[in-house]
Amino acid sequence: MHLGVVSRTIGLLLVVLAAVGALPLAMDYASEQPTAPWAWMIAVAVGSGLLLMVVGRRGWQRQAGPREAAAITVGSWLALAAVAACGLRLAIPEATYAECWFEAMSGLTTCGASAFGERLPIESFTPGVKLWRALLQWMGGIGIIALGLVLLPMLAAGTSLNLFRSESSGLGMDRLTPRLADTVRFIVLYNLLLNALLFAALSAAGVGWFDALCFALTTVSTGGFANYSNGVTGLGNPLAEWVLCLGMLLGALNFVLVVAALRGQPGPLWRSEEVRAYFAVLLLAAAAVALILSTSGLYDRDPHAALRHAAFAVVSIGTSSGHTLGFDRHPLGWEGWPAAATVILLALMLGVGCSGSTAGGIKMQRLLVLAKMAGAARRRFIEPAVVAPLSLDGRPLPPAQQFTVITWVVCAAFSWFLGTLLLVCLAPVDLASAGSMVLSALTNVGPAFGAFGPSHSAQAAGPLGMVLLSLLMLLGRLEFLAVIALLSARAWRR
Amino acid sequence: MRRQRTVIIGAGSLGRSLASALAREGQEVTVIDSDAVRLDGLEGVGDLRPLVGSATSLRVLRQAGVAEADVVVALTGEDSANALVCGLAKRLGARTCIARVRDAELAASAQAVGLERIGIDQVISPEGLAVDALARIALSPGCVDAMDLAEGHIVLRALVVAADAPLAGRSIAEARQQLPGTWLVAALGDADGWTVPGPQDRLLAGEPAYVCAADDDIARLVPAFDPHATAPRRALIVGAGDIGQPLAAQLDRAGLRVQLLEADPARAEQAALELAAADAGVEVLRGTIADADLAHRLGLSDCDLLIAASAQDQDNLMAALLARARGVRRILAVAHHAPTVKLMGSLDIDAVVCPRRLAASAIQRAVRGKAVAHLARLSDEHLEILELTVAAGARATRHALRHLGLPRGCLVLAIADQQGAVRIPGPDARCQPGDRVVLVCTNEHEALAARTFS
Repeated sequence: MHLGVVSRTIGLLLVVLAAVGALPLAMDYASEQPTAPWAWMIAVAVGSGLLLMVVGRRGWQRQAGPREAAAITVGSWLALAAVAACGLRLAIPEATYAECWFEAMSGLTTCGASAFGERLPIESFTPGVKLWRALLQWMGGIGIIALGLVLLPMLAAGTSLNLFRSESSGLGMDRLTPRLADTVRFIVLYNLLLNALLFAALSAAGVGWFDALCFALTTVSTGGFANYSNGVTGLGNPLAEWVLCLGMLLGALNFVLVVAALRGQPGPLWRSEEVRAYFAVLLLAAAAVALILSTSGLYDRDPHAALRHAAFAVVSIGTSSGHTLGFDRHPLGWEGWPAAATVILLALMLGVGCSGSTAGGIKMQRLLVLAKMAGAARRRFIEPAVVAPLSLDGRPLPPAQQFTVITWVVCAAFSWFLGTLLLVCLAPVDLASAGSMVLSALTNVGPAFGAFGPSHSAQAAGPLGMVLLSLLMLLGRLEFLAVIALLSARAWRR
Repeated sequence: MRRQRTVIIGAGSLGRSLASALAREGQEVTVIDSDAVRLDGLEGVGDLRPLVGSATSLRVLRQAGVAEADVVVALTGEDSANALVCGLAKRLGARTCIARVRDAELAASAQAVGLERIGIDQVISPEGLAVDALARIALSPGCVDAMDLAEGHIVLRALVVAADAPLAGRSIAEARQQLPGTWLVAALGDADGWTVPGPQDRLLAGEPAYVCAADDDIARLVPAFDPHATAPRRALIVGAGDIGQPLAAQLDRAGLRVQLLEADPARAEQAALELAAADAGVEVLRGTIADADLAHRLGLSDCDLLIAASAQDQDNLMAALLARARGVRRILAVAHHAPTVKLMGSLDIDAVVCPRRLAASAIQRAVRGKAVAHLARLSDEHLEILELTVAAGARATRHALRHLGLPRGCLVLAIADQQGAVRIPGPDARCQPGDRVVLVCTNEHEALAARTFS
């Protein structure tokens, strides 16, 4: 492990954070709120960034190998969350640092679980704070490293592939162009375009420009932060709810395939097994939940609301967004729904979004691979001589790739199990609430059930529980491997 | 009349047999090969010129007289070299260029961009021809050989007359009375080979007969020859090679339940992936039919059809014999080499397909422009199917068929008029100028037939 290159790269990424941090400063300046917290945060980011760059000056010319890449990725996500939490802590004087750290990590990992909303209503925050929460999700949706690759070309020289791989699984990340940096640029451009479209659509639906901006940023990134303590219900705008539903659907669609389609190659998107399964599962789940709600008697006076709330909850959880809706019907949101509907939502919490999108969780591609592996095993059981190699979209899936999917599942299962046990020890919550919240954190959904349901914040976890949950979010967002790689002594050997 | 000039590139077994056949017909033939050893002894076969050199060299091609050649046939072992040679020859001025292309992908790519742009007039794929032939035979109940004539409107099916068949032992004339309609027996087989039958010849049990009928009429005729013939529901193909894999896909598209057996694990995996990508529901299995356990699990005794289609003749022979022993109803086999064709023909195998012979006959058709296909189950080549265009003023336009004085051993199977309508003629039918006639005749009557119709 060469620490110089790690140090200088994290330093560079902190400067990127400082640049984005200028936006909430401008926002609060325009709305005549104190700007000092943001100025301090920028100072801390630039200062620590420069310090790290000076420390790592000898690594300036070096290339990051896989071990360095893992350290850079994990280190930069931790460092950026720490600095971003400083800004929140300074701008919200009543909040504790643990809450702010949780909020910053939940934002960066596009998880969307919030520490606020119960003790401190979100409506009481300055516009700068709301914008900063949304911007954190926007950055996390693109990926810190990917954003760095686009903004800082010097980062791209030679080191990019290893870095990029350690931040995202590489599943579904086909190159559109011979140069990786160009591909990432296209994807970031598409992300911006999608944000602009959603902003325009929300404005057209009658949402104020500031809410439209923040909701666009937190929706395309499948994040889930809202400017209101009661989530999307705070907008009070059914049309906007449909628009957000569409935005989440697009946010969890494979960006690489959509960009290829926009550049004149619609075939791969149209034929993609993953995309088809993604829409099929969401459609089926939404229909089932809508049926359950409409027969439950809860929505007798308003069938449109039953359909809207069902579709919204299914898309929100399936795409790992975590936007919540329904407080106009039930003070508890989807928690007041019949158990059958809740079970469907819990299953969707695994994450059915597409690979190569901003969605988290297991993702539809891995689910498809698992299903195909099960199918092949079944065929081999019946006739041992049968040759059943797996393929996805007509391309073979070699055993090595199947193995990475299994690795993900094993890592996720152990993290979920151990995380749940730890959370029960650290916080006075019941096992069901803890289990659903840990799963929700690992798959970056956000809200969960019970004590962590949509009508609650993450307060119930307490400061230690919040730190635990924030680390689980990072583990899930980086898809385990980079973090686990750093846990071995071999990674640190020089 | 100027003699036709042909340049053949590649003196492999196909090139050699084609060269000697054409030279015997009196054509001017040049054979190019980079390997002098392979050209040895060719000179003795017929009046032809061997030329040692690389066919992708312009100097060698000029020396071979490609610029004045009527036909250039590229038969080297390399697909891409064959395509390139055709392109070069076309630029030099050759009239017709034929390339052997084994790789289906390459052939499809060339077709997609337009063969004439690459300078190829016709692509010949031995494996592709074998796949088509096997699929045709497999899907025709009771058939031991199957050919399509006149763009598929007329079918020629070789049926073995069953002992308990309604027509067994009848003469052709009786059979035609018993089973009215437009159909013909084009040839009768016996131990000595094939003959074109007259009205008094008998359909003997156990002997094959080529039946010619319209494509929508043949299903009515088959039970009269073989009452037990049934359409296959399930097929087992042995060998997932250049023939087995596309054949599996084709039979799957035809609605059969297809299993593909391959001994090589890597090849099996590749075939399974490619078939799955093509949305074929073929089940690929790893193993051989010699594995008694596997054969038992596959349930060979109630298998309709087994096709031995691997690249090795001895494997195919083995698979065919084992399948017969285990009670498979119909067995088709591929034989790549002439001795194996002969050997398999003498065994209890329902049909034998030889890719090389199909390619040779396709090339000869292209080179000579008249013979449609050779009609022979075994290696004898003395019966041929000809497709001729009736010329204005030909004798055939003036008289009905029965008054043309066509010798025994020469029979008109079908007449296609200029509008494309195809009919099987009765004895009183008459040809119009511009009609295309399909006839079967022995080698010695070929010239006479050509004189009568054109």
